[in-house]
Amino acid sequence: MDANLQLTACPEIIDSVSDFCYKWGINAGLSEKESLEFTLAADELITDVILFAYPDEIGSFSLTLQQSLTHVELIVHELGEPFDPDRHTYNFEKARKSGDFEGAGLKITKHFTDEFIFINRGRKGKEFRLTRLIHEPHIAETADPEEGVKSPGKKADKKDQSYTIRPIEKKDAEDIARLIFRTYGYTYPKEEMYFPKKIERAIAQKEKVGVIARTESGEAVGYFAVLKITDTNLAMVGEAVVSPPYRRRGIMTAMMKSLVEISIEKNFAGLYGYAVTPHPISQRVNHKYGFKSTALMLAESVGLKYKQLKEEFDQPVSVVLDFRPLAPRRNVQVYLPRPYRNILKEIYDSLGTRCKELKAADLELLHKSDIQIEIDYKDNTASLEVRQFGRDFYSVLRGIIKSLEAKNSNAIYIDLPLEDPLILNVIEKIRHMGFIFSGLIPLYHGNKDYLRMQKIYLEIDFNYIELYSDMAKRIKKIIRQEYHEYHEV
Amino acid sequence: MNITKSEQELKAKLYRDFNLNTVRELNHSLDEQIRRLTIDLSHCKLVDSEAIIFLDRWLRSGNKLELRNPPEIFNEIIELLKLDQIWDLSEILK
Repeated sequence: MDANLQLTACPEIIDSVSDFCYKWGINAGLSEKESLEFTLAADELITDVILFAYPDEIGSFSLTLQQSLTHVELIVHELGEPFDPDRHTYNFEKARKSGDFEGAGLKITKHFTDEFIFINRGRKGKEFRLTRLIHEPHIAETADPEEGVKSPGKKADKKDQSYTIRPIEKKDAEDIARLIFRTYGYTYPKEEMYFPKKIERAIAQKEKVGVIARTESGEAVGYFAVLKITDTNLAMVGEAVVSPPYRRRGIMTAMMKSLVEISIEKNFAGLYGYAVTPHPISQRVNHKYGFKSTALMLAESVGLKYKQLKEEFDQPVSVVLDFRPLAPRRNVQVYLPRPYRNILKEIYDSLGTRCKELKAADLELLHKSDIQIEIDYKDNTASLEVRQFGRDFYSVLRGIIKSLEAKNSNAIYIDLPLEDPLILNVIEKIRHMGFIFSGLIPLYHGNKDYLRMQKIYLEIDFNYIELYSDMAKRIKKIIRQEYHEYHEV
Repeated sequence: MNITKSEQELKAKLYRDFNLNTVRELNHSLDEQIRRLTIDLSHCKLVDSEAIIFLDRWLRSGNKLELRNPPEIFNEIIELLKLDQIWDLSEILK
C-alpha cells in the first residue's frame, strides 16, 4: 500500500521515518537486508534535506512510498535551498587528507538503490526518487525445467474437452505463473508474471482482477486479467494467455466475456487495452470486443523480441491505446485545442460520445502548477499528468524535462486536461517544446478526459508500426507528420 | 542508548540507528578528558554517513576507538568509502 507523509524537517523525525521505511519495505516484498539498505538510502536522503535544504529555518518535506509489482519507490519532495547532486560527489582523497566527506551520503544512497533520480521542478522545489527492485522466487526455480520449453505439438487431453471459468484468487498465482512460463518460455514481456508472489500480492491488493480457465481435471489452460488504473475508475486489459493445445476453442472469447461482466459488476467506467504494433493481432482482438483506438504511443517499451512474429525487432515498441466504455457516455463538454480539434472530435464520434466544444475567453495563468510524474524505470519513459496549469507552468515543465533528459529518457508523455480552458493557452508552447500528438485518453485521470502528447527521443521507423483500425491509422498519420516536422528541424 | 563514563573513557551501547541523532547525543556526552570511546553496536541495525563522519573526526583527533559487533552494513559502507585504507580496522573492530 502506498503511503504519503508530510514531515517537519528536523533531526528528531529521522528515527521514526527510518523505522517506518524499514517495516514498509518488508511488507512491500523486500527481504530484511534489502529493506535495510533501502532504509539507509532513505536515511541519507532525509538527513541531507534536514541539514542542507533548510539551514536557517524549520521547513517541511513530503515523503511518498509507493510500490509496484516490480519495485518500491521513495519520493522526497521539498522546497528548500537549490541543490544539484552532480556538484556534490564523494572524493576519497579529500576524505583521506582532510576528513571532507562531502557527497558520501549521496554515494551511499546511490549504492544501495537501483535507481536514483533528481528532478528539479524549478519554483515548485526539488524531488528525489529512489527505487529498489523486489526480488522474489522466479517460477523457473520451482517448475519442471521441461515446462519452460514450448511444446506446440502437445495435444490436449481428449477427456479434458470442457472447461470452467471463474474469477482468480490468491491461490491461483502459481498456476498463472506456470501457465505463462509453459506458453511463452522466457519471452513474455511482463516480467512480474514469472513471480507467483508478485501475482499473489496484486490479487490480494485488488490491483488485478481476472479469470482463470481450468479443464475438468483442474489444469489451468487460460488466464485473462485487467489491472486497476490508479486514481480513476478504469482498468487496463493487461494479461491474456491460452495454452497452445487449448486454443481455437473459444476460451479467450469466453474469458473476455466473463471479464467484461466482472468489470461491469465492479463498476469500472471503462477498459483500456494496450495493443502492441509490431503486429495487429492484439489490436484485432480488442476491436472484436468493442474497443476503439484513441491514442498511439511511439516508444512505450524498449525493443522486445517477438520470436514467433518477426526475426528481429530493434526499435522501441509503439502501442495503440484502445478504449471500451462500460457505461453509456453520451455527451462531454471539453476544450479542443485548435491543432487537434478535428481528430479529437473524430475519436469522440467513434466512441459514440457527442462532444460539445467549449469556447474560452482569454484567460491568464493564475495559480501554481501541479504536475504529477510517474517514471517507468524499466522502459526509461516518464508520464506527466497536468492537474493544474499555473503561472510557473513553463518553468516547472522545463525543469522536469531537463531532469528527465539527464537520465536519457526514451520518451516523455504529458497528459493535459481537456476540461481546463487553459489548455488552449498552453498547447502551442508545449508543441514548441517538442511534444507531438499522441491521442485522446478518456476518463484516464480522476475520471476526466485528457489530451496525451509525447516527446520522443528515439528514432522511429513508422513502417514498423502496423495498425488495424482506420482510426488508429488516422492518428498515426498525424503523429508521423508532426514527428518528421520536429525531427527534421 | 546506555552511556557509562569513567575518567578517560566513554562506553555507549546503542539500541537505535547510529545516525545524526545518535551523533548529537554522543557529542553531548563527550568532554575533553575522554580519549577512548567504545561503542557497542550489537543492537544497532543501521549506520549512516553522519556516524562515519563522527567516527573519522574522533580518530583524526588522536583518540582511541573500539566498535563492538557492528552490523554487516557498516562493513559495506567502509568498503564503499574506502575507509579501510585510512582507518586501522584491526584496532577498531572487536
